[in-house]
Amino acid sequence: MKQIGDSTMPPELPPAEALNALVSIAIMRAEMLEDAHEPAQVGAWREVLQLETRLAEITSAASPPGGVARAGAVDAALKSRQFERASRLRQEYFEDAQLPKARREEISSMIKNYALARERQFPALAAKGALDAVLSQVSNWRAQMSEGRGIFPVAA
Amino acid sequence: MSGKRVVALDLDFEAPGLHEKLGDRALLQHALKGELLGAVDLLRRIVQSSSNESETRVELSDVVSEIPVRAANEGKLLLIPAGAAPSKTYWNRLARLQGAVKVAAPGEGLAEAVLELQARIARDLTPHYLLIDARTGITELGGLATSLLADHVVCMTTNSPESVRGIEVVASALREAPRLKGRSVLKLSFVLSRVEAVGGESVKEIAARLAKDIAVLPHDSGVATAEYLYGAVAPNDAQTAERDDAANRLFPATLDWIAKTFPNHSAAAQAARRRMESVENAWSFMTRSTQSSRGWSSSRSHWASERLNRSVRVLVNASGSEWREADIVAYDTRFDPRTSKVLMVVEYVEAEDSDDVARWWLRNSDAKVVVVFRKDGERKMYSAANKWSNTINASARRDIPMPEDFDGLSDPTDVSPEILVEAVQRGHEYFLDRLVRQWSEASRRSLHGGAPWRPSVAKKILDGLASVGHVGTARHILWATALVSPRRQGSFFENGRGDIEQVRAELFAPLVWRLPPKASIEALRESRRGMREHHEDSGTSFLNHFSQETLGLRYEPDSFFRRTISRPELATNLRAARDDDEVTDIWAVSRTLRFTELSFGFDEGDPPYFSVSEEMDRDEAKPKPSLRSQLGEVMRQGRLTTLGWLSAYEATSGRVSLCESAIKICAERLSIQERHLGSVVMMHTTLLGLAHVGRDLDGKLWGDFALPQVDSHFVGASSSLVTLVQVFTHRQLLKLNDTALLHAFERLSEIQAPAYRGWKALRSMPLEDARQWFMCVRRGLGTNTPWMMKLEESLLDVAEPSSPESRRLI
Repeated sequence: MKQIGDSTMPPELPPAEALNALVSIAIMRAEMLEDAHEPAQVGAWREVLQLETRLAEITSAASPPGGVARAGAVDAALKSRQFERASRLRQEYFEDAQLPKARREEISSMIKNYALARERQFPALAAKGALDAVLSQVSNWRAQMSEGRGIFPVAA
Repeated sequence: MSGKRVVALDLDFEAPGLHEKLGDRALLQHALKGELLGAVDLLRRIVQSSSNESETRVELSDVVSEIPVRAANEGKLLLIPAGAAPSKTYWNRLARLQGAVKVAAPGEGLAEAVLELQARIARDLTPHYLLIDARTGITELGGLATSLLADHVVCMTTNSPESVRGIEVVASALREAPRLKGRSVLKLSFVLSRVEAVGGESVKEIAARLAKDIAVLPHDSGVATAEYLYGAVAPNDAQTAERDDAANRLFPATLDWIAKTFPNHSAAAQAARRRMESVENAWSFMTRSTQSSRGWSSSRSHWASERLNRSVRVLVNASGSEWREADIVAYDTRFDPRTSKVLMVVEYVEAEDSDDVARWWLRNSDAKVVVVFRKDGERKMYSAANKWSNTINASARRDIPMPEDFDGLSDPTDVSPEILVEAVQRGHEYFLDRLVRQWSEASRRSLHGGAPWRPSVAKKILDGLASVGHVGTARHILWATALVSPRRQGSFFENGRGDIEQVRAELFAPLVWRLPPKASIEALRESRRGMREHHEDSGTSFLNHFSQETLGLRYEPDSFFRRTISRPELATNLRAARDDDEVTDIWAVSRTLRFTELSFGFDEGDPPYFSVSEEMDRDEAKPKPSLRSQLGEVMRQGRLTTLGWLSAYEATSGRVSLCESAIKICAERLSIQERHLGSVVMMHTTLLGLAHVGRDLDGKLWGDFALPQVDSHFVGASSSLVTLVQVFTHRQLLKLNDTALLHAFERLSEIQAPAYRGWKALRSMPLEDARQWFMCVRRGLGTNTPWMMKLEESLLDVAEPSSPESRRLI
C-alpha cells in the first residue's frame, strides 16, 4: 500500500485518513474566516467542498464517515453559495440507496433551510416564484461578464 | 407626470444628488443631519439579511419619499435617494455596504440585492417607470444598472473628445452585454449635453459616430455654476438672471427629446412641456432682477424667490376632497407657513374655464390676484370685486403684477391711467415708467398711422403728473420722462427713435414748466450728468427746442463750440501746436465760449433790486425796510419787475436764478401758489437768457446785444425786450394749457411795470411779426415798428398821466 509522501502514490486519490485530516483542517480554517467575516471564507468553504466530495467518492454511503462526508459536501456547497451544486450533489447522493435515512433527512433539511433563508433574503424575487431561476441567470450573467464579454467585469 | 407613477432611484452612489434636485427643503435638512435613509441602507440590509448581521431593519417604505407633482396630472413621483448624502453618515454607510458586499458570496452579492430591490419596487410601489440615475462609466453599480436592470439606457455625455471616446466604449459594451432571460433587447439613446454650438460641425461628427438620432441639448451657463431642476426646487435670483437665454433653449430642447424618446406619451409630454414652459417663463419673469437694453444692464422690479412657492396645494376641507394646486404662489413676506399671507396665485390650465379657476381661488384663498395661463397662450388676470360676493373682476392687464403693485395699488390688476396717476401722486414713483408708456401709446399717431389715438388719456396723464407738488416725486417724474438712460429708452426703441423724441417734446417739456421749479431746475442740472454718462443731454435738447419754437433761435452751445474750434484759422493753430498744447488750447476756447451756455439755480439771499436800494440807504435814520415791505411797496406802485426782483440773469455766466424769498412773498400777496409763480418767473427769465445766448440762422449772437449786468435799479433789459419776452411767455403758457400758470402770469403782470403788461395789447400779434420785431431789437436796428407804436399807445392809455412812473416802462 502506498504511504503518504510516497512519490509513487497517485496524487488524485489520497487515502481516507489523510483526506479526513485535511478536511478537518480546512473546515477549521473556513469557520475561523467565517467568524472573522472575511471574504476569503467563501473560497475556504469551496476548498472544504472539494475535500468532502473526494472523501465521499472513496467512502461508502452506508458507512458513518461516508454519510458525514456527503452531508459535509452539501453543507460546504451551500456555505460556498453554490446552491445549484448543492442541489446536484443531493440528487447524486440520494440516488445511492445505501445512504441512510437520517443522512437523507439531514441533507434535505440543509437545502430546505438554505432555500428558506434565501427566500427571506430575496422575498420579492421569491414571490415571483422564480427565485432559483433568477439567481441562476444572474450566476450565468456574472460568469459571462467575468469572462470579459463586457466592460463591466467589476459588476460581476 | 402624464398620469404615470414614476420611481426615481439614485444608484449614483459615488456622487448622489437626486434628492437635492427633487427633494424639498425638509428632505435636504433630513439628509444634512444624516437621518435620511436610502438605497445604500436598503441594499446593505438585503445583502446582510441572510447572515443576520444587519444592524438596522430598513424596509422599502423607510426609504421612499413622495415628491409633490402637479395634481392635475394625476401621476406620482416617488424618490428613493442614495442616502443621507452629503453627511458623513452616508459615506460611513456606503463603506459598510461595500464591506458587506465583499463578504457576501456570489449568490448574495450586489447584483442579486439590486435585483431584489427592483423586484420590491415593482411589487410594493407598482410604478409605470423606474428611472435610475447611475454612472454611465465603468463602475460596479453603473454596470449593474445599465446592463442588468435597465430596459432603456440614456447615455449622457459632453462633446469633449475623451467623453465621446468613453461613451463609444460603453455603448459598444452595452450592446454586447448579456441580458437576463425574458428581458427585451437593451435600447440605447444618446444625449449630447452642454453643447455651445448646437449646429456645429463637431456635433454632426459626434452624432455620426454615436447614433443618427442623437439628441443635442444646448449649454446653460446657469447649470454650469449651480444645478437646478425645472419645476422642482426654485432657483435663486442670481441663477435666474444668469440663465435666461440659455434656459429658453435648453428647456424646449429637453422636452422635445423626451417627447421623441417616449412616443407613446408624446401628447402628454407636449402638455407637460406647455405647462412647464408657461410656469418657467412666469417664474423667470417674476424673479429676474436685471434687464438689458442696448448693451446696458440695470436692475428691475422682481419677486425675491423667498417670497414665492411652487406647486402649492390648497385644501378646502379636512377630507381633502376639494382642492386645487397653484403653480406659483406669491406672499407678502419671505415665506413662513405661519405668518405669510397669500398675495397672488398663478395657475396653468389646459382646458378649464379661466373664470371658474379664478373664482375658485378668490373664494377659497386670501389671494388678491389670480393669474391663469391657458394652453392656447391666453393669459388672464383676476381680482376680487368684493370679498363677500362671488363676483370677480377680469382685468385687461397682461403682465404679472410685481410686489410694488401690491404696495401701491388697492387692486393690482387695475393699471388704468387714473389709478396710476393717483399712485404717483401718493409718492409711488414705481408706476412712472408704465405711465410714460401709456402716454406714448395714447399719443402715438402720425400722418402715416400709429396706435389708436387717445388724446384725452394722454392729457389726463400729463395733467395728473403736472399736478404733483412734492418736489422729490416731481424730480422722479422728470427723470422718467426725459428718457435719458438706456434702460428707460429700451421699451421705446422697438417703435423707433421717434417715440423717444415725442415723449421728450410733448411730455417732458411741458412738465419742466408745470412741475415745481425746484424739481425742474434740478432736472436741468442733472441733464449734464446724463450727457456725461449716456451722451444724452435732455436739458440742452429741451432748451434748444423751446428756444427755436418761441424765439426762432437755436441753442446749441456744444455744436457751436465744435464748429468754432474747427474753423480754418483756429484749426491751423491747433495743428501747429503740440498734442498737449492742443488739448490746452481747446480748453481755453471752451472756457471763453462757456458764457453762451445757460445754467439754473436758486438764490437764497435778497433779490438784486433789493440790495441796491440806495434811496433807502441814504437816510440812516430810518429803519431799513424788510424785503417783504419793500416788495409790497413796489407791487403797490405797479413797478414790480420779474428780472431784478423775482429772478436774476448773469449775462457773463449765463446763469438763470430764481429769488426764492421774493417769489414766496409775492405769491402770498397775489394769493397764488408759490410753485406756479416760480414757473412763470422761470419761463420769463429763461426766455431772456435764450434771447441772449441763442443764435440766429447765421449762427450769430450779436455780441453788442449782451444784456447788462443786473446790479442796478435802473439798468436792465430794454422795455421792448421785456414786452416781447412777456408775449412769448404768454404764448407758451397758452400752449401749455395750464390754467394755474396762466392765472399766475396774469395776476403777476397786473402789478408789474408797464412793459410787463404790454403783452395784452399784442395778443393778436402774429408770432412771425413778434420774432421779426425781436430780431430787430436784438440787432440794435431800432424799435420803431407799427407794433411798438401800438404798444406805446396802449401803455399810455393805462397809465395815469400825472404819474411820472407811468412814463417809465420798466
